[in-house]
Amino acid sequence: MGVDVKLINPFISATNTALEMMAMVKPERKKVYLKTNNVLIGDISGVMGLSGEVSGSIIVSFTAASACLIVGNMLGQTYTEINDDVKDGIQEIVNLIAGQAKTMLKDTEYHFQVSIPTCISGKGHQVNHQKGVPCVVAEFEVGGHPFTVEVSLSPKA
Amino acid sequence: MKVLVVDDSSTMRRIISNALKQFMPDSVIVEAEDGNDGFDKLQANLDCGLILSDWNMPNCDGLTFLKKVIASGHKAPVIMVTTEAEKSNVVMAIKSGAKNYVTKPFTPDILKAKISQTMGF
Repeated sequence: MGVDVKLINPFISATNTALEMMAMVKPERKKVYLKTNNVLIGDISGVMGLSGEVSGSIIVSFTAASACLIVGNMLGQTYTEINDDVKDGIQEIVNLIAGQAKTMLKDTEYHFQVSIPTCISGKGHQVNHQKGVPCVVAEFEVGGHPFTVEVSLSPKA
Repeated sequence: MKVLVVDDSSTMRRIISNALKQFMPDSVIVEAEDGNDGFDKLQANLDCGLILSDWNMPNCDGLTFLKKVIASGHKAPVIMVTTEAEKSNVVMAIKSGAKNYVTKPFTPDILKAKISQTMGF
């Protein structure tokens, strides 16, 4: 099964817009691929369940360095480690990306409703997407620090 | 002027507050983390001249909060600041009494323009 660009492209576009407008950074997009395991690249991840006519989730996973850089830029602060400010900021980034993507996917089979985002942190943490639903990963870098946007979304039968 | 900022994200409340301090340096910011908290803070700060509210929040969402503010008779204009950008939602908010609508993400200049448009300055 290949990557459905109709699904992932709005999330890529939303990621660029959210970080350029709110964090004044221009993300550099790297690879896009289908995920085959539960491993996240990051030290901190924002997670949001997606519902409505679809079921699925979005996970945006950051290394500590990329999370501190982005949230620091959003708030005009300098962060060197993950703290409550950084965790809250990561939740808001997921919210911004999902909210825009929702609007772009409005007239497609992937139109979804958002939920309240959560944050998970810790070295080597894992989060499972819904079983049996393909997960598309878009890799990015900011300032040489990686982060990923993972989208797993399936129209209800 | 006292400005009530209602958003469950402390990050977003700080971003909005930082932007307000740039172009309304004399503003006093009152923060609330959901619609219930927002309505309580409004009752305790009846001299609020402007309300900025998120839509998707736990406990009491922004649309419910907006309707409560309108029903209370409070005259402060409410601007929705939200990721809910679909036209049907914008129309619903305006019909419910919102005076303006800012779609997240936004820049400080966009927020400033919407507030100026709403407040007439």
